[in-house]
Amino acid sequence: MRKYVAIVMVALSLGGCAQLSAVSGGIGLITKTIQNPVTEQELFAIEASMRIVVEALLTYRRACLAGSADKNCRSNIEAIQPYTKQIKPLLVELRSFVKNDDQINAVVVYNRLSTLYTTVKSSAAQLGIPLGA
Amino acid sequence: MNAALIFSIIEKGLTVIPLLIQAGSTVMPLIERLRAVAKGGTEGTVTIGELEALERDLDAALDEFNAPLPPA
Repeated sequence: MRKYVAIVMVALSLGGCAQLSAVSGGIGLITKTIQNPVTEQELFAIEASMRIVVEALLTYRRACLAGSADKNCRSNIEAIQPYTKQIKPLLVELRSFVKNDDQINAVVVYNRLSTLYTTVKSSAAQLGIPLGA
Repeated sequence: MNAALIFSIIEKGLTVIPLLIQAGSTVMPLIERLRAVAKGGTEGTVTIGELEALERDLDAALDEFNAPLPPA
């Protein structure tokens, strides 16, 4: 019973993530150009989107370690980590570029992060971890 | 893009989430926190400290997820 409740909670969490991803994905995660610079508000939008997706993944990881996730969870997590490990250094760079108004580099990093965000979500979906559309 | 518009759209989107995921989910406090920051952005009351705290929180969450799994 405890396992069942935990799985339902994970599913509910991920369902919520889908909604936020849909919201934020439609706002900030578009391809940027120099003519369409990255603002501090868009930096917040991409960080909020990332935060929710990572929270969903963390919930899955914690459920996996607690023994209440699916039997493939360990390999699923290890398959996603190569992508999620790329996020933090890119975020650090993006924060610096946006705060210093270095738009040339900010646009490049923002677009890489946006692509990575989509890759993480689609990879998770392929592995049966639904993080949203 | 208009900053107030961005924050108001985020706030509206976040407002409906609690209805969808029900209480008790681990993601609820996080959503409330993000919603408060988005609302603060709309009202011009968000502080650099709040944004930096969210950044640190995201970094910590990434570190936890990316940590090697302990032996089964």
